[in-house]
Amino acid sequence: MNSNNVRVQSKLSEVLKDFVSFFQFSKEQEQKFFKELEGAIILNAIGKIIDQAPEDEQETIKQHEFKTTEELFTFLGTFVSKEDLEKTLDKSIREVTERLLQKL
Amino acid sequence: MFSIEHSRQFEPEDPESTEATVENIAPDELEQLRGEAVEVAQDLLQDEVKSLEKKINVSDTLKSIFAGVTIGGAFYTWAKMFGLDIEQFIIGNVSDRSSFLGLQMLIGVAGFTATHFVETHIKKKLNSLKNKFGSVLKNEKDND
Repeated sequence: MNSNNVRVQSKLSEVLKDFVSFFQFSKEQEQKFFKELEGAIILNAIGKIIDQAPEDEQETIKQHEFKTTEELFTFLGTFVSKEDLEKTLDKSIREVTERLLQKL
Repeated sequence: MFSIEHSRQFEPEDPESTEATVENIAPDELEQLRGEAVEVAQDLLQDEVKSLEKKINVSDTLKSIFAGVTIGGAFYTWAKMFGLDIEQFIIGNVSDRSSFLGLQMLIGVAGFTATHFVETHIKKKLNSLKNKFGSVLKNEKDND
């Protein structure tokens, strides 16, 4: 990670801490809030990856019963590149963050 | 009753400032705000579960995915599967790991633009909340 990214990540940490301090969440609420937000972003990204999957992979997704998160991630990893994953995550983060902040 | 001095503290002198304080918000109003924030996060997650339900169409699977993402560590697993180095996104003292670490790593992996986007939008929201509560306090003063 270059120094610019370290600086931006540090700022992000500070902003998130300010956010937490503004709401004065209890530890339990704070944990719940961030876990669910993280979960929403991950599920949103999974949905986007499925939408982008080739037709034959779409068929597998519909027919195969994935039993664990790991199994699903491994399968998705067979047709998603690291770059595509980063782009998809970027889109999901923007979408979910915007929806969160609009509703607050 | 809030004093003029208190309401002035909420006027944002620096629009870029992210300094957040709730010391002058009524406790019940703060409790409501806090509860709403957690509910919104829950709603967002439920919306995504419903959306995936339509795409995968296997309820047991969804339960396991849902459990996987809410118990935490799902992104860690995800990152390992895709060969992403997430340790580099852990900032500061590891013993001081906060609950937003997972979110921070996720945003870090998505790169500079996502990080900057989230930081900017949360900062704006904080300022608007400070403005909102500042206005409430000013109105109370006007009514005195």
